[in-house]
Amino acid sequence: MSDTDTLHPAASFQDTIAALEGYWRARDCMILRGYDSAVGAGTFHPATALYSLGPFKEWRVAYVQPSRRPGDGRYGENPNRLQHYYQFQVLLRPAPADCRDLYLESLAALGLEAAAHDLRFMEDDWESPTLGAAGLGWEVWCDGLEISQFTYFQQMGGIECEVVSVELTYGLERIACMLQGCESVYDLEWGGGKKYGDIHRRGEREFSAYNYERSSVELLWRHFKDAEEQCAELLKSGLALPAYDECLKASHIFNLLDARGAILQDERQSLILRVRTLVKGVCEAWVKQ
Amino acid sequence: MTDLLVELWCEDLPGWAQEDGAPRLAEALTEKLTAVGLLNEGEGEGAGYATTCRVAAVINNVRTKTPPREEERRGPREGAGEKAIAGFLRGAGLSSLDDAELRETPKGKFWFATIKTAERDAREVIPEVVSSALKEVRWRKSMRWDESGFRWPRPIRRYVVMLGDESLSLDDCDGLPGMKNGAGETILATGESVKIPSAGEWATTLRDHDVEPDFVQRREKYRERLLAESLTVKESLEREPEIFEYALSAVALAAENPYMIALDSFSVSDIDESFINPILGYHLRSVNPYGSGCPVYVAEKPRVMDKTWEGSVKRRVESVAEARLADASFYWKQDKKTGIDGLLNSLEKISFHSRLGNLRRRVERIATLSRQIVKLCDGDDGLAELAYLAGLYIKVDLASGSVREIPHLQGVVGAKLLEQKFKTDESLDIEGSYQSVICWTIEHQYLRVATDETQEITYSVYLATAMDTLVGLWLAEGAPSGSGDPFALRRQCLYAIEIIHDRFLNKTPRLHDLLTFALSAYEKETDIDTSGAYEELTRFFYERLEVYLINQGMPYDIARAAIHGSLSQQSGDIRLIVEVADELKGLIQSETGEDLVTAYKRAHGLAQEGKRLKDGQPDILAEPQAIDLRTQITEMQKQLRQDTLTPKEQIRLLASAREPIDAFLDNIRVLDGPEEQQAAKVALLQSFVDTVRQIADLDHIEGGDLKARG
Repeated sequence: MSDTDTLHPAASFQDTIAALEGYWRARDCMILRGYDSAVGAGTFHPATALYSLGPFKEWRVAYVQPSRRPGDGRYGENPNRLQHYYQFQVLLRPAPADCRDLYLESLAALGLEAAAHDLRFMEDDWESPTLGAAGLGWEVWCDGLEISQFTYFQQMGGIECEVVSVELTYGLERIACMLQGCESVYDLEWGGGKKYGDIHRRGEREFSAYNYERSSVELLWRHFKDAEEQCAELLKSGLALPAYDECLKASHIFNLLDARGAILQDERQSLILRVRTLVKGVCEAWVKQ
Repeated sequence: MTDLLVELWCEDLPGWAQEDGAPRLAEALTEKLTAVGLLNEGEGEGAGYATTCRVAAVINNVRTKTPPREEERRGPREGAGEKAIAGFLRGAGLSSLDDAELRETPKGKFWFATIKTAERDAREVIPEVVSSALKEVRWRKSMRWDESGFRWPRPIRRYVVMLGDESLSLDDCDGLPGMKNGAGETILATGESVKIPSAGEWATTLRDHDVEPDFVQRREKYRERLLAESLTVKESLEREPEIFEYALSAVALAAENPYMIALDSFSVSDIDESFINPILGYHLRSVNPYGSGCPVYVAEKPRVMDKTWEGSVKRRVESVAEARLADASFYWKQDKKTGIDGLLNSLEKISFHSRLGNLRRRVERIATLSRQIVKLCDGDDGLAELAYLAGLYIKVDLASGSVREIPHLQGVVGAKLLEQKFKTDESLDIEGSYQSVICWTIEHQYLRVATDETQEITYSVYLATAMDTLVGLWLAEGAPSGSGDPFALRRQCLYAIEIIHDRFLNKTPRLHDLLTFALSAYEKETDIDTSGAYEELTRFFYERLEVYLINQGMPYDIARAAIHGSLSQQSGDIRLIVEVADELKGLIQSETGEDLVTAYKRAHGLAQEGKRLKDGQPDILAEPQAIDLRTQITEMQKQLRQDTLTPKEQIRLLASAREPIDAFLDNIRVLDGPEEQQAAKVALLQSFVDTVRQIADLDHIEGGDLKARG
């Protein structure tokens, strides 16, 4: 009996997560927890961003990463757009030859059988300007809905990845909506008798108001500069992980400023470059140690 | 003779990799097979194929054995150092100089070795050939995926190499990635395994399984299918051929066995119908062969088509589409509330470039330049004002929420908002058909197409936009250098040249005027030093014009000769220079042209050689050939001064110089006789060279078989 046989991935959001965790645990992945800092995607977790550069030649992890994209908030009114959502992230280093099959099997384990859907791998060469990271791969579509990203890392923090990792990112809300047949993310069964909306709708309303209206631009700029300065200072002592935390803060503040419309067009490039320079410094310090 | 199949099963290939991969693999294999003697030069026929999951090539007429070869290799000079001798022996596979031959040559005595290679079985050679061909295929973008470091657009996981009906292995080749040997069995996108009887039967085997491996034929298959399907497709093809052809390619590249699902039921209100295709094109990569309102989603046809499959996929795709349209509708409502002039004002808050001001200033410049271009093309004041208006609103939707959310709506949103303004703003007194022209110009700015009715206005605005970008970013960021062209100024310049040369129906604007107007706007508005920019930009334009002509099949030396003719450069008339190049090509590839180039080069060489002889007076020369040449030059100069010669007449005039210059050079010894006579002959030749150079600078024409060059 496999780990997923006792679960019904379509029954609830938490069962969908548990099914994915079970599937990847059975394929030699460590199951970690999401990183405890505001990040825009699972890639920012040090288990991916830094460990994709080493030190271990073999590194297989899976985790759920709560993620924030301030500009995507819709005050809890749009059924599919959220400023806070969950990604299920898998990193396999080195990328195994059968990673495409492994991924398709994971969807089947959730109940998304290829024969019943139109599963497509659409070119999407991923790039994170703030992480100085790039990879080639695809968005995976299930009947026109992007449910995953599938990326072979080529570069991280401006450093060429000596060993190529593959990153699989599952959009949990979208997959759960397909499995549960929901039109709105807020109608998803979370588990324990509660809906997704019971847990997150208020947050969506309040954070949308904060992201778009109430955050203090002046304070955000100050926090951005503080994080930048602190990061540079920590890097002088070679403290890569605390310095990386400051990068994450700067990156999230950048997103908040952007959502507030406080960043001018040509200012944007220079801010991205400033964050990228910090991340590059962190990655170099990480690799050096 | 037999056939060779090389098939590489890849993880899902993007469309561009399919289009590039098929011919490149076939070319690389043909070249390598010819080099080892398995193909006779020009006899082998190679065809490249690609689908979403494979790149393949089938090469016909491959020999089963390489021919025995004998190659002579020259080594070091007699008495050369030990190292040189050892290198020579190693390279030639000899054990000592006793096996080499010492031979006398005009440059001294050298060692020679004769290397004999026995015939080899093709089955032994082909893995090496395939391996080296794969490593040499160049891609615009490629990736690594395993420790081999091998690069390809997407990972290769499996291969089939077959010579005739025999499967070959690449397992012993160095430097290739880990791949499974399919051993004569291919896999379809749906996962089904299919046995290949022989290399020559590979394509038909795939076709038997409903997979067309040839992109062009796959495209035609869907053209036929669509045209057979409904009348609206035929209408769409006639109305918007470029959009139809684009849709066809998108279908053929989207899936190995594309299955088209027409989407037709959306329950989204308050969204303009013209937004549906761009939004769904962006989010679902849907295509629109049917014209407006009915996008097609392209799916991979399943191996077994369950009767509920199409309905359930369609329903889910439509639900994704509806969510996307609902989101767009939210932004569209906001944009309508702001209105086009509200958005125009908010362009002030968007910086174009820190040294070049905001977008509001940019559209003012574009509008003014558009008006000036219409006038340069002899357009009347009315047309010039329409171009001004189109230029002013061309970038207005960059301030809209709709475009920020769905970039594919750029142009469409601006056009729709302007349409609303025309309906409600009574102060604008513009005839209906001209309103449509302005909206068309804004809507199609990224497709860069115009209709016959809109041509002058549309392309004036597009050219003004390109010139403003090019000149502005040149001033702010400097000229592109080497591989560094972050703002794609080279491409922008080629686009401007294309419009100037090819898009205006009547008169075309001259480069000098365009640069003067574009530069003067920046001189007024910024503190950037523009000194020297005019000359540098002119030079840049002519360099790009050379590339433009080469891209159109013009030999580069003829392109250069035409561009560097001083009359051409003085005119600043791109269209005229292109015509001169065309005419010059015809002349250069004729016998007259070949003789003329030879005579010109001799004349130029002699004039250079006699440069020390100053102040020659050609009038004192009494030889009839000298008099004829002088008369010819005088006539040419007279005609060239008139400034009314067409390119054809210019080149005819050039050709008429052939006989007198030939006669002069054949009968008169230039650097001979009294110094005064020599100086007169050199001056005459220099005058000939200068006159020819007014039309074309033949110094740039290279030697070789001029007639054979295409």
